[in-house]
Amino acid sequence: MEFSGTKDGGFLVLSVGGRMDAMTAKEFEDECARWIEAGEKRLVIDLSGLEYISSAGLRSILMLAKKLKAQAGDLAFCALSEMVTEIFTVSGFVKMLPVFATRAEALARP
Amino acid sequence: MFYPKDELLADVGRQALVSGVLSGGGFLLLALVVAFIARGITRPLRRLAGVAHAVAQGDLDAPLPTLRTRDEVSDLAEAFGHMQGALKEHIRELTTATASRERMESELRIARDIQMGILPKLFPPFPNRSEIDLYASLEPAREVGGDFYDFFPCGSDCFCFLIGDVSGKGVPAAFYMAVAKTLIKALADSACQQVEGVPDPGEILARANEDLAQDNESCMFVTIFLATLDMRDGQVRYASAGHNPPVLMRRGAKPEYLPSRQDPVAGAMPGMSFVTDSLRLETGDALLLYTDGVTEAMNPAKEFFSDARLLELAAELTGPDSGLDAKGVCAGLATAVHAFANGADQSDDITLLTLRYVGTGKKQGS
Repeated sequence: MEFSGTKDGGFLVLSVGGRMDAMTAKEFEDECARWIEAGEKRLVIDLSGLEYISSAGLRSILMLAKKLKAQAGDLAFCALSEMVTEIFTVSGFVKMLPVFATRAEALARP
Repeated sequence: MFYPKDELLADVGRQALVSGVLSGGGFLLLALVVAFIARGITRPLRRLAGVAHAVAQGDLDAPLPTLRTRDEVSDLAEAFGHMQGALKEHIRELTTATASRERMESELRIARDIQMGILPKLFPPFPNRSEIDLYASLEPAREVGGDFYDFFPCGSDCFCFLIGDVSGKGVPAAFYMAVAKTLIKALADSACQQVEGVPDPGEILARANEDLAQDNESCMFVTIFLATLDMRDGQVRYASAGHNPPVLMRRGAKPEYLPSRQDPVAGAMPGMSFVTDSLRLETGDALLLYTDGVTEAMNPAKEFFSDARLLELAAELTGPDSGLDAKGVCAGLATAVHAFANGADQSDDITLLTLRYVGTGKKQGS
């Protein structure tokens, strides 16, 4: 998987690319853990480069959401591809987590 | 003056003889010395070769020849000794590793038997009820997996059927699957007893979600499609916890996916609600439940089997000329998925459940 993190206002925007499945989900967890350890508590995950996400990847996302919630941080997702949107929709993740169409919308939150 | 030739050459001949004897003897002596030295080198080498043969035959404890001299041969013997020791160590480790792997494999095989054992496998499920034709199959991708299906009676004229898929794979998924399946069954059973008539699938899922989300440190979750069928009139009530929408196959119409409410997966977060929808199966209509191991089966080119292909195939298998029963539909789908994968590794469990409503033979609604 490929990652690139940039600061934008109070948020850290993490662009994620590749496939997030049972083999690679750990990379995503580790990458997020690094940012959180570095003091970032408000994460916006840009998924425009994500081609596929399996249930193992969804589990990693849940763990991240729980972790940030416990630290009074927050988490949002933006720019999902068609395939990932479908998976987020069918699994009800759009009801559990904040999902935005564009990065700008995700960053416009208070 | 004449001298006899013999007399004249006698000295020369004697000298030649002496030098001949001397050189010949010297040569012989040299040859003996060379042979002696060579033996001194080759004998330990030959003995080493003998030990190497013995080691090759599996005798790792074959004793090495003891050498008194310190030279290249003794270095070789020493290196050989190290190799023998390392080989012994390696083989011991390998034996231990193999034993523990075999133990794991045997445990996994037993776990698989237990897991498959908790899935109902007797078909037809309700031999005395001719209203329905139901079949289900599950093929784990590994020894154990996280998919499951279930069906059981609920009251005298109703029954529950469901399919589920736990996040992840392997032993953790298998554990969670056993917990989820047992929980749903218990909740549905108690709902069946409490409510006269038919329990509410959405309500059952909401309760299951509460239980599963408690202390769920591992953040595992499960997608479930849960439905009840009233065998008298084909009334189906259903709710979905983030599960792939089933295919509705109306007789004489194109198959279609049930609309999704986008309700969340179970176990992820407490406090979720799940909508119960209903539909009515007419005689000859069928529902196909599946897990994403079907639609996300991949071929060697990394293409997905896809929702679209599943719909096409469902149309083919349940068309007016197919004449297939529920078992035939499941088998046809499984075969098609394997043919599509074309030898690529099966990455997820493949689970299918087909329910065909045969009806009561009476005109419905009367």
